Amino acid sequence: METIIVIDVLGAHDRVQSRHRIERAGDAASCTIGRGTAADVVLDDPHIAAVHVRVAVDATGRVTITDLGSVNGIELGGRRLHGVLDTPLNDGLFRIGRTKLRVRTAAETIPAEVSDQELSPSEARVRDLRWLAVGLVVTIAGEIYSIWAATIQTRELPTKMLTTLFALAAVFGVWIAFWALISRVAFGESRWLRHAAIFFCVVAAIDVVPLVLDTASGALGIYPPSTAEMLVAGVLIATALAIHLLNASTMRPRIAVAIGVLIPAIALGLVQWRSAYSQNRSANYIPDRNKIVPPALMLRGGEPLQKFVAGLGELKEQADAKRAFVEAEDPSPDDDASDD
Amino acid sequence: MVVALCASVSSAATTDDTQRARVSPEAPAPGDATARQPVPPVTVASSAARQVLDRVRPAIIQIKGFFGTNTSEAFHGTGFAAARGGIFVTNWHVVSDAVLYPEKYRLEYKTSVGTTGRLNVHAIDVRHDLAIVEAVGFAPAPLELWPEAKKGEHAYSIGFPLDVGLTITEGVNNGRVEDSFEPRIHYSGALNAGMSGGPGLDATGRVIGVNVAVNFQSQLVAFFVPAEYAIALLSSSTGKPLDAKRVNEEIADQLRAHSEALLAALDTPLPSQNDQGYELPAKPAGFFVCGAAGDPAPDQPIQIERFYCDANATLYVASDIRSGGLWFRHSILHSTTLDAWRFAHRLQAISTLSSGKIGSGRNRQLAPYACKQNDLALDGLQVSAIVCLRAYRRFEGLYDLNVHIVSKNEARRAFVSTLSLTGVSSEAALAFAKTYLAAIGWKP
Repeated sequence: METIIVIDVLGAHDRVQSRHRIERAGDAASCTIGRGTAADVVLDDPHIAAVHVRVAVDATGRVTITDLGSVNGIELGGRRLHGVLDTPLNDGLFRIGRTKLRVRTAAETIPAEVSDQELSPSEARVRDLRWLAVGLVVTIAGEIYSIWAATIQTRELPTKMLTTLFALAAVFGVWIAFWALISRVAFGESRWLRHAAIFFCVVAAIDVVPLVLDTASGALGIYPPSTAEMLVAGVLIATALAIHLLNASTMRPRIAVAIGVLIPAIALGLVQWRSAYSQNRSANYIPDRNKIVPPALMLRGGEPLQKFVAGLGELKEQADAKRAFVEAEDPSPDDDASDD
Repeated sequence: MVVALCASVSSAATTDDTQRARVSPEAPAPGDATARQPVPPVTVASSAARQVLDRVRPAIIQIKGFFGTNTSEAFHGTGFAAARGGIFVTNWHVVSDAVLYPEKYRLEYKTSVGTTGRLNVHAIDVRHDLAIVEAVGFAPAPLELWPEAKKGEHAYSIGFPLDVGLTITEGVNNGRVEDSFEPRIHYSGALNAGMSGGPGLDATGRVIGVNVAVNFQSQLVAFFVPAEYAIALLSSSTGKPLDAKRVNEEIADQLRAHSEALLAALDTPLPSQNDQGYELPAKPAGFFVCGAAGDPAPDQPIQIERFYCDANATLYVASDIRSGGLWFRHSILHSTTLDAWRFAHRLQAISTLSSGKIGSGRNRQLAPYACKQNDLALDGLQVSAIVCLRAYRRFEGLYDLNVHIVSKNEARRAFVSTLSLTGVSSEAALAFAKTYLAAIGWKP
């Protein structure tokens, strides 16, 4: 009969930095941990004594720990203890000095193998590359379109496109580096490709979705409220954030989605609240929501003038209501020559 | 730019799209033409001028406004005795702050011999920029008001320009200004800030008008309010101080009356002119000042012509609000080289109001706009129109109208039109919005 003790030295995020396997003949066994060479497991932590603790396993598989007279003692379950003697280690975890350790024995129950539904790393790489290509192509096409549409002098196109390209590259660099860093900390792998794919797919969506919505509004003669644009932006940002978080951390999906939704909701909510606050008090704000498309795309005719004019009467009540609102809410506004 | 002449120490010069502004003489606004103009040639007062001055001097007062308990003035102007019992005439814009904010300002007079006393406002005429005030404890012989002055006669103006003391200037009465909605006598002589409310006189010392405004972009083009309006206001005055509780109502009534008269003076139906196929409202009455401009040698992919019309009827209501104006402007765009997508994109950029705002109305005077926007089928074309109405906070029942229209019928041709009508009843505003929209059409 042989007894096996495995001591794991844990680093950040409980990642195993080194593993020590001790095999002893017989039903019970023990080993020592310390800074000196006399210890079975030697650690370099200066806050550890030469021979700091003894870990023992008895015939029933019970693991106990004993302080061998160290100055700093042992941390168990978040509390520092001095001079403990054969104290049971329930989850196998303890800390001496600055080092966290885990004891495993043959008696431990190991969870079943996690079935791998995901793609193999090489397959995932191909998938990431494919999405990256799609995102990149659509983003570049979208940027080229918006620059082209806004430039009526063709000779200015190359300069504007180069400027945009550099700006996009700079944002891309910072953004991807940030997420790659987080991935690396959480998983030990940077996942450059995956984060680049997420980034470009989201930028592509930000380029394309508003363009499609604006064109549809113009074609159908719809006047969407400014909150609709804000909502679309919020959904896109929330999606991006949640996918980045899922791919860069060990967060549970529900929490990643919650964070992804909450951050843009709070940020855009504050922006929306601030602008509504000033718009509701500004004497000069006009909510012009007109979307213009080439006439060939227009699908809906205009309202007859008589009908439109007949509906104008309600403006008086609305204007009076706004007057009542500012009289109640903003009785003495600041000098507003430059209000925002 | 026509500028009212009350010297104001507290408020810096403001200019706005109503073209009338009150100025601080010590600190001309940037771009203010006076800052760059040479000093006008010195006019040597003739013996006639000395006689006129000697005759009227006792009837002239300087009017000063003080903020709170300050002993240094906030603004000042001039007034002259027009009836027995210490009744004086001055400009509305001299006393407006004190009338609208009686708890903040007090009014005092100072006579030509230096005695001072309190002033009460008895009657106001915002439309003609006049006010009747009573000088407590000072009742000189009134000047004679003479509404029949003739063009080409010598004329004089008296006041306290820039607070440098009683001054007389000599010039020529050039008669009624033609094509002006506001009745004005054109005085070719010097008028300066602080002379507001002083008398415009003929050679015998009779009052032919009241100093009111000057055109800053020219030399010696100044204006009097004709004496007949001072006579009318004097006869309507009750001889009692203005009822502070009814002041806002009174001003609102006067502004509405002004706007009704303005709208009634427009040609019906609203005249239009054709530009690039678009029928658009054109000069609606003789007193409108209209203009149009474009690029004679266009090298841009989109050519833009601009057209504007202004009634020049904006009234001074208070230091932070003008009202009673009507203007509209069109930009007509066309391109022969650009594709429909980029033209639509450019039209969107040109027609969208920058940061969603229009004009420079003050939040303390005006409530936010209530707007209605939709695509409309006008005479032969589809447009997008937004009609906005905002209420005045202080003056109940008074509104501003703003209409903004963009055409949507042609791939490489379009217009953007904006209308502003201020200080009207909501009914008149919305009726005029309809009139304006009905005048627009497509006749290529």
